[in-house]
Amino acid sequence: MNPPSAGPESTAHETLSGALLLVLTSLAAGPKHGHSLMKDISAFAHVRLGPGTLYGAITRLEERGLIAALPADDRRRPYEITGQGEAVLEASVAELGRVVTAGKSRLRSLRGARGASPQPALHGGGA
Amino acid sequence: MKGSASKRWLGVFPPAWRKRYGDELAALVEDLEHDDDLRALDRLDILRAGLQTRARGRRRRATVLATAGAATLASTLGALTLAGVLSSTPSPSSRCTVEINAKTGKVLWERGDCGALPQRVSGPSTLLRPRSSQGSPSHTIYLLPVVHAAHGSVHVVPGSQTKS
Repeated sequence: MNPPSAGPESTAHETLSGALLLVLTSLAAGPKHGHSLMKDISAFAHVRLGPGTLYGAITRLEERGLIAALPADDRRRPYEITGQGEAVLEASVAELGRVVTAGKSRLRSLRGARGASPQPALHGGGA
Repeated sequence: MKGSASKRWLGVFPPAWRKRYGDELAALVEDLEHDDDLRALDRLDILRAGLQTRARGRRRRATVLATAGAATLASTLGALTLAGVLSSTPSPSSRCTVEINAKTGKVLWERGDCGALPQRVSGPSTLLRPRSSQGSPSHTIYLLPVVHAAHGSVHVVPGSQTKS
């Protein structure tokens, strides 16, 4: 039985959640403004968020009370993670951890099955 | 993208958003320019984010309007229901002529200021019963002072009924 395929909506949601999660994770290391956030996310996740995507994420996180703005230094306003943001980040990381654990386990099983049987099982389905 | 150009791209965001975040985003674009890290796709990224922000604002306003409309409707219906409950003693509010089936109370036709009459008229059985042998015993025309109660039934006011 195949799992349900992800439609465009779920893909967009995952992408958006991804940007939110990246910003929250970056701010967990300390307050940062936009440019510092971009550089930090690029360093730890190897993902370059565009300026619009970054500020879209900042807007939504601040609306939800997950981050808070600090007094601006010139036009560069730093943000910090809030207590609520910390809780959401913890839950999100735990959920990701479960997915990572399941994914690793199933990949091992898949490779084990392929190792035991020379013919791949994934090519048998008709249209 | 120079500073003036970046500000032009920021114009796609709603004014309230620009007032709150515009300077910060412009500063970020300038920082990227300074680092020689501003890419062509960044313009599209800003454009897409601006359009998404506008769309979200429209959805939010629509939600607020729908919620307010539903609340107004609910409060109006609530007030009408409350008024109906409070008016436990019916008083004549309109006059209309209806033909009813004297046995079942079913409204056969109506004329005059009847408002939203239900399909059946309820009231004391003695008032709905024909008092003469004229016409059909089951179809009798009455001039009925009625009051429309909240639950939709029509109360015949005792003592004010006249037969035409």
